Amino acid sequence: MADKRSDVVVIGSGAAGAAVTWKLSELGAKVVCLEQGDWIRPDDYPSSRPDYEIQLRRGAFSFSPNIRRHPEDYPVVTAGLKPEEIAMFNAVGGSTIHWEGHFPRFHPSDFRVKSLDGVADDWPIRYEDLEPYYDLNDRQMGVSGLSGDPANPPRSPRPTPPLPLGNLGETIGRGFDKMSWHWWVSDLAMISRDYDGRRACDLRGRCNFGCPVGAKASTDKTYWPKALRRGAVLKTRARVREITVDEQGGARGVLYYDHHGNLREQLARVVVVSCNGIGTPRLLLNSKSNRFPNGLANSSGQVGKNFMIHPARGVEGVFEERLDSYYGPTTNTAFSQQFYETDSKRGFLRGYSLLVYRTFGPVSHAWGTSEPVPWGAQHHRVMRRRFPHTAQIAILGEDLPEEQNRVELDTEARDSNQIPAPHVTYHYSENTLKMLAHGAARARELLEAAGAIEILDNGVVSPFAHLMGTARMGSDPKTSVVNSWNQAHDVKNLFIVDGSSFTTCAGVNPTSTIGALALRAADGIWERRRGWA
Amino acid sequence: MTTASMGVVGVDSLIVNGSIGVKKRIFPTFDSNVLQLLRAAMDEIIPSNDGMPAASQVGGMEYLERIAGQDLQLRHEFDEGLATLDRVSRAQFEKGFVQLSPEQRVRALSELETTAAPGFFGVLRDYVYEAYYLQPQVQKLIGYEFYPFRKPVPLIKPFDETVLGKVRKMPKLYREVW
Repeated sequence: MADKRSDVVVIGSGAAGAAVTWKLSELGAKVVCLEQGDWIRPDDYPSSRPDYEIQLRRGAFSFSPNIRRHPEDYPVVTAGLKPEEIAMFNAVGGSTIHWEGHFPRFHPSDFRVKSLDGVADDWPIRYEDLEPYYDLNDRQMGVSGLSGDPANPPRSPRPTPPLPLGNLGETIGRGFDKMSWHWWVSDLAMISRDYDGRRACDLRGRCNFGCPVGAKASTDKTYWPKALRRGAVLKTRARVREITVDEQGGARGVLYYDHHGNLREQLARVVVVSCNGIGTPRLLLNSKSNRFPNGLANSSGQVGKNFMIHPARGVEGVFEERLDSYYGPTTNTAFSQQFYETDSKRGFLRGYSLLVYRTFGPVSHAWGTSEPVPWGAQHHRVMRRRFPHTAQIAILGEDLPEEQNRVELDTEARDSNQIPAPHVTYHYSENTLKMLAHGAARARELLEAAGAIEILDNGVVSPFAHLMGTARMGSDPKTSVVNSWNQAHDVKNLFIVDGSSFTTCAGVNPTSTIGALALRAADGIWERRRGWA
Repeated sequence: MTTASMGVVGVDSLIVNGSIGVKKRIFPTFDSNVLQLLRAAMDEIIPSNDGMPAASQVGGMEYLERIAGQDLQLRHEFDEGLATLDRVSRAQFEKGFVQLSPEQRVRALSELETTAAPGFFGVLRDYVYEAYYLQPQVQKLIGYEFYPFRKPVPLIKPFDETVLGKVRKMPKLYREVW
């Protein structure tokens, strides 16, 4: 059963899919977006419930599809990572429903990794190419922050002023100053004042569990209302099985299962894939045909390769004074890029950000991020010492693209529509482990300088919820999947617009760069409209 | 929901709402021996001291019965794990865990934690912590308040730009590229 042909079909409604749909709709294109999840009602967010913390371990709002197992989720088989370490959300807004809203930008040097440091690859675009789209994305999402940071190029005034640092942020800030290290208040995709029809953050915290206020920029509340007003069509509970091709080798449309389980075809002149760094290669690899036997857009063999996930460590400091860290925005209030740019004397290449984190409530404190509060006679004494007196420094390191870190199709696991599940293989590199060990030592120094009376560090390395690199951008079709406009080298009316297209992943959270790339790709698609079939 | 009312409900016979609209099935809960073991164990994990109540004094048992009643796999894990604790007690002290002195119970739980069943011990400890710290009376005692979305939160001092005075004087840290 075929649906009416659209100009563009976008697969996925998250950070990238929403931005590309809005921009193309503004420009005048007829856009249909297919989303396998549904709208989430703010009243259903667990952040409204006192037991919200249990979603960290189990429940319908868990960060991991391997724990949630909703019909709209797909299992992710893992090797080298624990199944629960894969985080994503399938709903209108995608993982922006769950995210922390941290909104840093790449540095100019992040686009020239090979030239500067002799590893990985250069991007085919520069920071300056993306800068106007960073600005546009900031305005559309709504950002709080402050320009003037000496670790980053000058940027336009932030749409709203910084959110409060609170006792925790100011305490750690004094530690940074004592060490004479760089730090700055974070750009957050959370508005500190009413903005663009949305209400300001009321500093309640629990941001990862959904923001009923609407201050956190999930794309169901930012891009989607505007895109729908411009005529975009959003089909929910629509799971795409494969991208179909025509006799000329162009993308013809997509086959998808509607909410009744019926197989339908959405025809389009242009296909945009925005399914995240795991879902996108999964779909491309599942789109095999006589013309593309190894999957679509995969003549380079790079689809699914070079998976990056941002390795991390966390070090906690316990302070005498109350930090009251469980209210106020959960995400990092401030950050340091003192160790961001490469310094070969450190024994590793590339660098990392130090992120200052608030915490959740008493349950997760007792469970412990680094170690649980001890049980037995000493339990109450230690709990009283740690809660709410603990701050966490997270080390977010850049991992380098490596072919053996990859996404493939699993031979057995399938989703509820019997589409093969992705199989992720990932191992931390020696460079990564050295980088994180360096960062953990610096975090300890920082916390001690800030006055911590106890340091908690279990040495465990775990990933952030960032899925990148599996359909990489590059100039050479033999070694990359998309060109500088996110256009597939092999299929001219196919665009891959999400974290998959990252050539390298930098040492910062990726979402502002995903959004900027999406807005730029939309302009590229529109400029090529005369070539649409 | 009480133990008794759950006990008479047949397997798979009742559906209740779980978190954010997900339906969860109610299973019959623990038998009386397991309940005694669980109560004794949770009150050693979180005892009454330092001005704080023990876990069972604030509804910890009822909470865990409800959770285990919604998750058959978890209930079996508790059944087996607590049976292991009882075996450890009998091997160490020739008495069941419930009959042990507080000091002996701590030693038996330590054996469970380090040797006999460390995986289960972690599960038990974390569920007891959850059962305890979700209780409003405990939250009040530790100075925590959950702020619902219609209740004002305490004021946080607005951002003060002067805190960045030192870092503003730094030279630029990013690399120029061509």
